[in-house]
Amino acid sequence: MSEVLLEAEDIRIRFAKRSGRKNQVVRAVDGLSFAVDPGETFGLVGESGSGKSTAGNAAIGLQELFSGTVRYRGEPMPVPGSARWRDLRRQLQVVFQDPFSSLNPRWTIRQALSEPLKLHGLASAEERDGAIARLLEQVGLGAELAARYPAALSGGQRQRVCIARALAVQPELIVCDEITSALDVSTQAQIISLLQDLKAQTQVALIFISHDLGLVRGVADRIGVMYLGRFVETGETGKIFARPLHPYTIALLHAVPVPDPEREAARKHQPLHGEIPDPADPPSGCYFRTRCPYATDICAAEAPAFEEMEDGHRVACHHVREIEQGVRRS
Amino acid sequence: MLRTAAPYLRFFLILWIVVTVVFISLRLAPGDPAVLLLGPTAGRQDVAENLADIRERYGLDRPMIVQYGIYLTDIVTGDLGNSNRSDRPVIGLIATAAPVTINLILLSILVAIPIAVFLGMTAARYRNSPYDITVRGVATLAMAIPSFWIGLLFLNFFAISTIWLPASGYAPLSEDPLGFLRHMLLPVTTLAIYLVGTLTRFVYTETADTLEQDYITVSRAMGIRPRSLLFRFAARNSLTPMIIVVGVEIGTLIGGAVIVEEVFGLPGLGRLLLNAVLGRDYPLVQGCVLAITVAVILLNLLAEFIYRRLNPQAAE
Amino acid sequence: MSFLPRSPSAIFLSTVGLLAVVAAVFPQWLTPYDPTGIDVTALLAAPSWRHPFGTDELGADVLARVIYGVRLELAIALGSVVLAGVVAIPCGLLAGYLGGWVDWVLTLVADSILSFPIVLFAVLIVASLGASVATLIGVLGFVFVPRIFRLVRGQTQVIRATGFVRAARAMGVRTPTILVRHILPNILGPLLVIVPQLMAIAVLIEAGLSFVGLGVQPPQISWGSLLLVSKNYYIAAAWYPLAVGTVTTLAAAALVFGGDLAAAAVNPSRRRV
Repeated sequence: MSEVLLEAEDIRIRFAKRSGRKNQVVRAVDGLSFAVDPGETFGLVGESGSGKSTAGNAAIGLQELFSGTVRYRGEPMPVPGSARWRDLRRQLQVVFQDPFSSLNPRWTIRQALSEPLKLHGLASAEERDGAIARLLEQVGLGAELAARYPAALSGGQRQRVCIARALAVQPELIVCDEITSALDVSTQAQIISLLQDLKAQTQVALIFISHDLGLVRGVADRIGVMYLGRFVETGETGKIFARPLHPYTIALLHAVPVPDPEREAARKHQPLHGEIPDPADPPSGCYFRTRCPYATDICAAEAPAFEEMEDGHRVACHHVREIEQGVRRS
Repeated sequence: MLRTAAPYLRFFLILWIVVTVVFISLRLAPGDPAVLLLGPTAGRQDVAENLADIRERYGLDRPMIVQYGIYLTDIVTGDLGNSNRSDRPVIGLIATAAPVTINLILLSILVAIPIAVFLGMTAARYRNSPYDITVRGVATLAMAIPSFWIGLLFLNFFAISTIWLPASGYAPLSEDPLGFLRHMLLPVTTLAIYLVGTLTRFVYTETADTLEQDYITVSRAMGIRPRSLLFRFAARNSLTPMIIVVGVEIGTLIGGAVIVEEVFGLPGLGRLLLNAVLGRDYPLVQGCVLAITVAVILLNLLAEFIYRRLNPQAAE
Repeated sequence: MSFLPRSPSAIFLSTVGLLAVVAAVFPQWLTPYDPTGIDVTALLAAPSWRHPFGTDELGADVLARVIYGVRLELAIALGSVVLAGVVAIPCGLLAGYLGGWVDWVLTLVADSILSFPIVLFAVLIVASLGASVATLIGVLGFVFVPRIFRLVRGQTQVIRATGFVRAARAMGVRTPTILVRHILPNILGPLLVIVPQLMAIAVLIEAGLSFVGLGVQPPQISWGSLLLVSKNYYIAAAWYPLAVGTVTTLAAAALVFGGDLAAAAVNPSRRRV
């Protein structure tokens, strides 16, 4: 039984927010638990404001928790800035969303890639050029790019450099925080393809954060769907796509286009109504009830518990069974 | 509660630091402070006892911290000592000289603002035209002209070689309005030149930025005439920050006023201060610097306050 | 970012700047005259081919005196700004990056210094310590610190929020390294803009203070002291004060203009004045 790589246990993260003269508390992450095995890809899906980026940051120790624990190989996450925390940076890396600001405009690519190598003493000065060339090749870029500046590279190329930078220290887990959201569709596909290759080559684990369920399907082994800081559904990718249980998941799936135009036209769409509520003032009971077509009184009164419906497939909804029957019927 | 009190706390802290800096800087001077405070009369025979008086009064033979305490108490009670040249109370001298300087600066601001606004806005309206380039060039030069140099130029030309205007002196507005204007014309012009330069550049940049905004393009597409655009949209957005700039420039203006008063013989605070320094009149120097600096701080606070009222979004 | 000047104005300014440096270091290359030379036969002579700016009240060539004055001007202008930078840049980096009480205290001190009108503070210090070039550089340096501090602090805050700084922090890079290797190179641009502006202020303040006797003292030559001496000759020999004053004005204007060019180069979206 291999050791779990990363484990988050009932983590909660709160922010203080000043709205006009009032001080409000935003529960960005409100009781999340998940685990990532070595070599596994966990997809974290949700809208903007769902707390997924915050959760991703917390998973690798970049965000302070209000309560709960994050454990890496059984060891609780050390205090940010401590020596042990810095050691762990070798194992836990992150790639951010915006490729345009993630690279220092005054540094060459070589300098950007040297930074992690130098920091963790992974290559001597003579070895460095070779290491950089290999890294660039690994992400599908030519070694000649090392001498260029970020301004000369396209968004997709820059993001590859950022991935290479994360890979430089040979980490065990990389958090990909909406790494494709700033790219156009064809480039997105290329990056996903690259991630698949890298997973096969290096067995690195990933936490892949995105709002695009279709994209996540291409990389994730398991998925957690978040809404306002809580999971509404988790499970293996295949199972969730085959049998979506939560109304929110169903709505998200409906937003993913199907490549076959005839099937797409024939699909029944169930768009989401309304807007995501203010995270500082969430609805009572089930957070999703204000946009849920199946909401009833109990949804306002009580937050639904997380139930396991089939192996590894959990959902938090009072009416999950009725919904499923209704969907099957229609 | 701490949060709302913080800005006022800061204000008082700044005031206190400024006051302390003045205290320290005057005691940096080498030599016996009592002698310095007494000034040129220190060496005289009949003054031997006054040295002891001075020491007593300012606590000069007591520890620094006690002196500091005496100094602070004096200030708070408004006792700034006596000038050691004329033996008149410093407060009185400042009160007499202050209106002159205030008039000078106020008039300069009132004259400079309309000119700068007009020049800056019209130049931005006709960007990159010869008119615009000329205006910007002249504004930059205006900023760079040493005020005393141009002042002397005016003086020599308008007052000495042609006796149109008086060469020096001052007439209070309440007593002799025409004389007041005649005496103030050249000094105000001299001081305003720098301000016109700086403000024009600022208004130009602000207006040009505003005019580039999309909502202006939309308005023009809708058919609104450029001139009314200028005044309705651009004006309000560009002019509000100008208040802050004026507040910031008050410090520079005071410096300019010191020089200008000297050149034109205006009996204002600047001249008072200068003569005090040259005459080693420490109590007066201290009093002037304190009074002026506190005034500048208060004015800046006022400017900030007005700006926040006019532009609620700035309060963050 | 290319350092070489391209536009005509930039080339022009660079040439002027180069001339200024030469005038400061090797003034004898630019003028055959001795600035302190006394020539009783040609007192206050009008401008001519031999003496483009005429001669002063002691017969010395005015242009030569102006050229020799560049050294002190440059020393004061550059010296004060560099002095201020040495103090203000580290403070600004720390205040902008660390925030919290460090920021609060440093900003308080900076704002206090800013509350003093520059001339006033100079006058205050000169009253105590006496007038000299060193005092002038010290006072101006002191007064410039908060201005540079504010700029560095603001820029640091902006850069701290960028992706590559976040990435470096996530990578485990330590704070001093981040400050020096990431933030510092990215604030050089705005610094380049403020330096000539402050230098222009220094030139003008030196002129003003020397004019009232509180700046450079004879026999040292500065433009302010020249303006002081020439003030009596507006009627008799107008070219004398006019020449010196025009040079001073043009120099200050050139510095301001240089700052404008730097601003346009650093931030192409910003309007140029």
